[in-house]
Amino acid sequence: MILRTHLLDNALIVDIQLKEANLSNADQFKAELHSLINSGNKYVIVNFEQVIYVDSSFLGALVSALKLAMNNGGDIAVVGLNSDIRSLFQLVRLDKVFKIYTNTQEALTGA
Amino acid sequence: MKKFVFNNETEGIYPLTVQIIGYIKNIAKDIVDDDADFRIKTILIELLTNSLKHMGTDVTNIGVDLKSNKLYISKQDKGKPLQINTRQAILTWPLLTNKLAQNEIAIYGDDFGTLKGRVKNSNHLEFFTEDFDVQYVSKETVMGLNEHYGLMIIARASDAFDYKHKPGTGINTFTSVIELKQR
Repeated sequence: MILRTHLLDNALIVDIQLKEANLSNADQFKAELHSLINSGNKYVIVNFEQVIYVDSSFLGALVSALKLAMNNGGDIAVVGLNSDIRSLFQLVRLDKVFKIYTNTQEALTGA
Repeated sequence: MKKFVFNNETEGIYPLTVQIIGYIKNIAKDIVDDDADFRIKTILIELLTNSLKHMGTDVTNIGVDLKSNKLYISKQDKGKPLQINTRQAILTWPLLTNKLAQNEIAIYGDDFGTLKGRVKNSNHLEFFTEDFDVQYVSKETVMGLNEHYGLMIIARASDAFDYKHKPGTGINTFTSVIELKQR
């Protein structure tokens, strides 16, 4: 398992337990996140705090999960992005698609 | 040109990226600002990831060169030529003459932008992106999002980015160019 989860208020907090979020773990990330969404978790907050870099494969997996969440009437927010990962979201315009917050608490209050 | 060898193992991506950035910062001391640092890192990670996807166990050469404040990062291998599945067809190399006549090829995209290739000749494609200003992101926008970002990321992070295929030798070369600014 690369994702550690816990419920807080009405959201599922998903901590990515990886330093390098890349091609080698993108499929597993996608499968685990899809499974959590298919289990009925509508509002998911994905925490990137431990991640030092994200590649295109991992971003594609995250987008795939967002599509599933939205199809199920839910949403995904992301938190804990370092400056490079935040810049990458901006580069591919995903900052316009995902709600990005500094930390979990901020995401829960929708600040 | 300084050459680095990538052994096409996932574990090698980050250490090699750090090593190459260290070299670049050494040769371009005062002209790598935070923005350039991010772009270089992103391009290297995506070039190495691209190699990992397509090369199997063979090695890939990464070249770094700095000329007149222009940083050239190239990836060279003898793997399979770049395969692009456009909506119309799968491109094969050398490009067929009907593709040459098109001049520009739409590779993939979504509401936010399209990655395109400008045909320079039958063995040379220059990538660029067309970006669109999306005011409102609807569910349909999200459902139509592209999930393949590799070449798009490199094209956006570069000032120029191209692919060359050398028939006969089978050598494939991707080259990214970043114009570094004197601070």
